[in-house]
Amino acid sequence: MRKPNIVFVHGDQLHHKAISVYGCKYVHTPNLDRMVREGYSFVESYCAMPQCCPSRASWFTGRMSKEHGVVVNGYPIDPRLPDLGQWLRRHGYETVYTGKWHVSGRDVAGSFKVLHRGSGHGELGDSTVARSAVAYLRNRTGDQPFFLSVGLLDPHDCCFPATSHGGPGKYAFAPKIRDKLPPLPQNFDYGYKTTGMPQIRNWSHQDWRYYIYSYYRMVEMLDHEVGRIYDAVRNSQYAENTLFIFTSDHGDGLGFHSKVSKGFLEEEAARVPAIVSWPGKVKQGVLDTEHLVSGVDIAATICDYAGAPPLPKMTIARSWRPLLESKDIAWRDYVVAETSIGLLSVSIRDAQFKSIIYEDRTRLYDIQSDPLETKDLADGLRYAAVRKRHRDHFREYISQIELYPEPPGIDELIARQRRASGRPRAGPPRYRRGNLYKAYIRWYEKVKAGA
Amino acid sequence: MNTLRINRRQFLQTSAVAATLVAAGRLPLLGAEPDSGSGIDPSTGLHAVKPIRGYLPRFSPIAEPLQGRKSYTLTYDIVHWGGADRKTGMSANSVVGQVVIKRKAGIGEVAYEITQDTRIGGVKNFIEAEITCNAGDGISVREWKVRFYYTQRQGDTDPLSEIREAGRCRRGQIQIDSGSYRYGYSAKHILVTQWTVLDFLIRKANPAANATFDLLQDLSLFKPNQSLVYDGKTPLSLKGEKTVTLQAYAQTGEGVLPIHYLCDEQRRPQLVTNSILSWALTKVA
Repeated sequence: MRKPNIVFVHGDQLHHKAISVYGCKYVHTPNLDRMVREGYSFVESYCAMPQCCPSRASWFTGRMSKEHGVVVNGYPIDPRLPDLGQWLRRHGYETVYTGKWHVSGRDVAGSFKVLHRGSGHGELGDSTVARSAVAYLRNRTGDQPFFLSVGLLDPHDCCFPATSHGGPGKYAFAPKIRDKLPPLPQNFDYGYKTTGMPQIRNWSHQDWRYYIYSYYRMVEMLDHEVGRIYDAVRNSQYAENTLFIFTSDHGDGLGFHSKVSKGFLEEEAARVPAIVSWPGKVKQGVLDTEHLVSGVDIAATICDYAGAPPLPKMTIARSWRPLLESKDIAWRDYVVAETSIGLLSVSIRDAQFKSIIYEDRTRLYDIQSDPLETKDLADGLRYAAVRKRHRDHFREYISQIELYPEPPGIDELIARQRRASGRPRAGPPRYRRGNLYKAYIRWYEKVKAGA
Repeated sequence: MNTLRINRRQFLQTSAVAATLVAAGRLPLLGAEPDSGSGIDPSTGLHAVKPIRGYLPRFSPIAEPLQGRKSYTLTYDIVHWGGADRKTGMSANSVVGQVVIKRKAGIGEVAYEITQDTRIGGVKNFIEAEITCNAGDGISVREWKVRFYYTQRQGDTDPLSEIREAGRCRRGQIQIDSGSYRYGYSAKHILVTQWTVLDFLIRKANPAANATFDLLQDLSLFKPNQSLVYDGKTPLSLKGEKTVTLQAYAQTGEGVLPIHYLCDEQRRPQLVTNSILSWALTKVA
């Protein structure tokens, strides 16, 4: 059988609900809508960790963030781990990359042929990156199967008007388009109610609504570029033999829980769209609300379709192929996401409940009846069994993964840099947050031991 | 009833702390009405030029006349917003490219030649286009050819990068031939591009009147139902301590962040500001 071509397109910081066909009235995404209609959408889809580098490293290695070493942005990937580019190249594919890569510690050019490196700004680079993918499909020669990965930036540009000074955001223009500003999310006030102050920013409600308005326009920019690539694939000579996957590395606060940005495990940051399309091969028009999937599964799915062996050392990653092809298969009961930003925490999501577990406390939500995570059920006896079950899942998860060890000499390296700079919080840029290896290893080992 | 007794000094201390917290927004439930205006922009300047505040001290408006001319060439710097000072919000702006728009009027039509180059990802990225529009107040796009390509790091054209497309719009039906396939859209309004919209603005019968158009960005991405509204006067401090007041027109719609066109009294579009990218007029010929 001919090996299929694989096109993997990823947005950056796309909220899981910011797609019109999923019911969002404030954004118009005709291209993503079409992909949803023509493809298979995983509704219960989570990133491995809600930050760029760790999440992307999970896509390309099939390992969780505490396994591949990219614990937060900047931490280098385990140099011994092969990535999808290297792996598929070894198994007969032309591996091609364009746009945002952002897997710290690895040069994309060592794993892929690079078409275009894009820009750190979607408004500047996304059209060029999308066109480079279209041009590649049109101009390539030869009959080798290809794996084309396309890294689009938007709506990540939302980070810039979210800075304390508002970046390039034209907030004072908001009154002129007041009737077009979306309302605040229903759980916006949650942060105010629980803490008496905004979680992050001292913005007026109008500022928040303008931020959300701007975010949706950036999602529409992304939609146009994804549509351009999708059309080029579906109208190319490769149409019948090409698997198309679209997802995002993480979501965005978008005012939910009065938050912006990412790094935390609430749904708005940790949950992501995941759409797969291959007419005739993948079931069409499916909105799968049953199966819990993770960004770490991307690598397993791509290897499966490519006819390549699984990447070495994949632990919990599962191929979506049986689900996409309606095969009867036992699936995971829970999905895990992790973060090392702010307080170390882990989320355990099962069919009904979601725990966010910290070292010293747990929050618990009934995601089915409270999808906006407004009622913490962790206190009291009523849900003690759920808490225990999730704690057991956490323990099981730790026993399944292979913890990335602390590289030797990190403490000395950080201390030396801090001494040299004379600033107690300085350090090599990649270790600006200090030695995070030690923290998660200590916590995970404690949990594994039954604490 | 329990009564809390505090002396004057304690009262003043408490009040001062509360005032500080309110001012810092740390007590929002007691502070200003959260639905009131912007908490961000007043400290960082006029919104229409916010993305290019760092560039303005280098900018001089171009004085070459445009009105009444059938043919002319507009040259703009493409100005990139590359970050901002944490405290002042002052933009770090750099010029990353140039766009040249040549206009030539014929009988019943207007022809444009576009050359745009932008430095992105360490290479030069080009768009070259020939566009024919209907003449008249609307200047709606009718036919075009466009070529996209970029260079390799050494400067040669990357042979894998080229796309050529040709398109037309007849009675609102847009057809674009792109290699071996055709795609299209339905336009309900005047069809413009980001280059020809400037001419639309220059020749608009009533500059302050609202307008609606469909945008064909880069001659390939269709963004319908764009609104153009007058957004007032924008006084600017420019190069050589000059000040100038420009009229701002704002475009909003699907797939664009508010775009401001800043025109002088002769309706020359001197500045066009998006969010990350803006244009500044450097030459009229």
